[in-house]
Amino acid sequence: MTSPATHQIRRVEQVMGTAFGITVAPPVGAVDNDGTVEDDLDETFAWLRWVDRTFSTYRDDSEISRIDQGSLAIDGASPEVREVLVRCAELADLTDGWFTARPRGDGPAPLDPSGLVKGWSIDRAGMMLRMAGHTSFAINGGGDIVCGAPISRPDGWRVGIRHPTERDAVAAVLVVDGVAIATSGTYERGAHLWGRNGTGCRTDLASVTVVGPDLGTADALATAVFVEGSGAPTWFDRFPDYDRLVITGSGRVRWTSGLDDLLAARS
Amino acid sequence: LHDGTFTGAEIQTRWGPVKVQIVVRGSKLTDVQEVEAPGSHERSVEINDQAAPILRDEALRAQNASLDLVSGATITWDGYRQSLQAALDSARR
Repeated sequence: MTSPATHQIRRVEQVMGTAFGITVAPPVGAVDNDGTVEDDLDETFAWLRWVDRTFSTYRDDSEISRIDQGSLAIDGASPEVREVLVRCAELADLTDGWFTARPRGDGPAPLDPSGLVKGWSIDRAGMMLRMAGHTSFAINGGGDIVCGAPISRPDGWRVGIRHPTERDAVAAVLVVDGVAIATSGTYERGAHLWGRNGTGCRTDLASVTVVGPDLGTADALATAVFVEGSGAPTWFDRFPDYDRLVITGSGRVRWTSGLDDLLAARS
Repeated sequence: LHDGTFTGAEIQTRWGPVKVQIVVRGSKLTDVQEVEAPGSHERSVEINDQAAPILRDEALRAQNASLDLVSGATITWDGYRQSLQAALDSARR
């Protein structure tokens, strides 16, 4: 028998071109005999697939593509699309333009809010789980993570930060609960990051991880810090609730003081 | 880790049982294969075909089954991770 405290249900599905995994522990005493946890997971994945259809830049019929083509006015778009575009504009201001929803420099820059969308959609997925009564859960969407209370360890989720160059290593381990973690780098899925004003990214950084309360913001900040390249942009001070861990091209790992207590010795 | 081929425990997942086998050479994890993979219905096959290579890649990358999650990498399938942990435990004995 699995004890209720450690009973967990996991599912992984392909969404947004990557793998999404969700782990939940049913509330203690509510062992999932009637399938309600599976129903909650169905709803959560349905949300993520809706986000993919609506925001994809790879589908001509997505709202984002139609806005870009001029066949859909922003005012006529879904409330979620308008919310994301407003937040993209705020984040562009707050990062002095290093985050942008029009990242590519070659020709007219197409609208591409994906630097925010994945994290934002995972935040919402986490809220859906919480509203369904799940306090212990973790969602990992292609390396971007939102977690609630831990399940299998009392001290927290052990989150490895992938080493950017050594394929079989992690560069650091964070022990966390109730936070969001996003990592940006060019080692995954090809060079998909672009600098400010559409310039090619000339960063000396290998990867940037941002930890904070909100994954959409963390995701956008990780990208912005990465493309800015110094590893310590002054505008990051505008986000006092967020910390960063930066790995330089030469393999040095640096982090802000808020992570001191979360970093575990490598096991 | 001792050199050799080690098989992990069979772990039940939503999609069916999962069992992985690892190969250790020169004390390093050099390969992870799923010797038993969910494939009993169409959806399982689809999920498994997509998730298994990603998971395999990450298992090699992280080489540390004591982690719950990896940021910056693609997602793990925890069923594989549990079986992987068991295989690694065998390799450590």
